[in-house]
This record gives sequence, structure tokens and C-alpha cells, in this order.
Amino acid sequence: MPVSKDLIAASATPLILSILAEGDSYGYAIIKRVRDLSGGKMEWTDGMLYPVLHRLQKQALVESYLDTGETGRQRKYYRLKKEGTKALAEHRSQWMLVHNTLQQLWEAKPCLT
Amino acid sequence: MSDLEKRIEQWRADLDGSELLGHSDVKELESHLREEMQHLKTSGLSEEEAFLVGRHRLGDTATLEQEFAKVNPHRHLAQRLYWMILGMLSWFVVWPLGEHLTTVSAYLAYTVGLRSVLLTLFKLVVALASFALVGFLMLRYLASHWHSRVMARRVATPICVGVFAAGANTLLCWTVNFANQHLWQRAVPTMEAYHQIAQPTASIAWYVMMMFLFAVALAVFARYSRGQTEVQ
Repeated sequence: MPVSKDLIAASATPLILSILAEGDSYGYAIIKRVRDLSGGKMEWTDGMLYPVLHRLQKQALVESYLDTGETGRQRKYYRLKKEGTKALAEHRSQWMLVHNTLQQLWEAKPCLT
Repeated sequence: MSDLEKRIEQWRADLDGSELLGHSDVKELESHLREEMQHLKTSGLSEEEAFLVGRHRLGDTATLEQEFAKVNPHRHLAQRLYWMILGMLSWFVVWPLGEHLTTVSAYLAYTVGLRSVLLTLFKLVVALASFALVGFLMLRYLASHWHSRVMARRVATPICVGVFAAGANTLLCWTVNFANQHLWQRAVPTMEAYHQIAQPTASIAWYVMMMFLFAVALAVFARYSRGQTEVQ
């Protein structure tokens, strides 16, 4: 079952921030990580990632630098900034709140028999 | 260049033609495409298939434009404005410089004995040569910004508009001067009467109003663009 477009869009920022919290990364690797973690069920349009990254950069949550990867090709790497770490914590508490609320509603009802 | 390279080149040129994607954005997307293709090839796809799948996963130009526009909704306006202002400035700077250069060279030519037709011809040559030099320097600067034919159009058009507007301004100023000197000064009996007519009160009012209008437009534009960023 593919994840809905709205949910993909809403979760893009916390996902990117969380992946960058693990260490500096670049566009292709970020998408691949999301694909692997979700078992291929979260299919991003790859091009969607870059505008989000650029917006995070504009908001000073991440910064970018050019570096040559192991393939010898120059890549644009992104690094989480201090403000980004704070934003991630904020996102995390909000998502956990939503998660907990839904979980309480969806918990197995006690069997009457 | 292999067939595949040509197709990638074509794909990149398409994206470069978009006003909403910067050159660095396109470079980043290309790097992504190549990486994806490499990965797909290791899982058994042919080069051609890898390109098609990679391109599809990145999204078509319209989708990419839509996404990138969310970050920089006014990028294309800002870019056009930049080139237009550059066109205007080049006119306002180059034109008087050219005038000076021509006059100075004509003076030098006069001192060495050039007269009448020859002097006029000499002036023409100097004017053409300076024009060619400026054109060459401008084209050299622009060449570093022309990544594709579409790009050339979106740079060249605002520049031409800018140069044309500045040229029209010079022409209009010239007609104002001409009318002052040859029409109004002769139509009235004394210079005193002319000075009363030509008082700059109306012009000053115009300038103030124009500046006011400009400030309002700028404020509206700033507010609008801020609103756009907050929506995201």
C-alpha cells in the first residue's frame, strides 16, 4: 500500500532532518535511505527532495558544501545546523503526539465474550 | 559523444531552459540522475533503461518546476529584472563614454589636420569600433551565462528591453531639450518669460510621485513574496 501524497509531503521535513542527524548526506543517498527504511513503500518523486532541502537551507536549518564522493563525482552534501537540531526535536514531539493519539484510538478493544 | 550522453545533454538543456530552476539546481539533479543510473545498471538494467527509469523517478520538467517554484517563487522575475537593469545600465554608461571617446578622438584627428568628410568618416570609424568593442565584451560576459539556447532567449530578451527603454529615454530627453531650445525659447518674447514657463515645479512633483509609486510597488511586492514563503 503506497503512502498518500499529503503524508509524504508532510513527513518530508522530519525525515530529511532525521537522516541528516545521523550524519552529512547528499540528495541521492537521502532518497535511497527513505526507500530502504520504508521497504520501498514511501516512493518520493526524487525531484521533490531538492526544493525541500533548499528550503531548509534558506531557513538556516541545514547548510551545504561541495565534496567529491568515492565515485569521483562532485556532490552537494547537506549538514544539519544547530537550529536544525532544534527544529527536529520540535517535529519529533509533534509527530509523537499524533502517533500516541492515534495509537490510543486504535488499541485493541477488550473482548466482551 | 555517445547517444546516451546526447540524451542526458538534451534533458539538462530542457531543465536549464526553465526560469524556475537555477544552474546549480540542474547540476544537482544531473548528479542525482547519474547516480541513480549507475545504481540501476548494477541491478541489471541497460544504459537506456536506466536513463528512462532515472528520468521518470526525478519527475518531469513541469513537476520539478512546480516543486522548485515553492522555494523561489519570484526567482524568474528577479532574474529578468537583473538582466533588464544590466541592459539599461550598459546603455547609460556606454553611451556617454562613447560620446566622449568620439569627441576626444575627433579633436586629436583635427589637430593632426583631418577636416570635413575625412573627419566625419574618422568619427564614424571610432564610433563603430567602440561599439564593436563594447559588444564583444558584453557577449563575452553573457557567454558565461548561456548554457543553452532557451537560456539565451531568457537573458537576451530582458537585456534588449532594458537597452531599448534606456535608448527611448535618451531620445525623449533629447526631444524635451530640443523643444525647449527651439520651440519654447523662441515662442516667448524674453528669457525671463521662458524661465517662468520652464520652471521645474511640475517635474519635481512628477519625480516625487514616481518615487512614491515605486516605494508602494516595492512594499506590495515584498509583502506578497513574504506571504508566499509563509504559505509553504
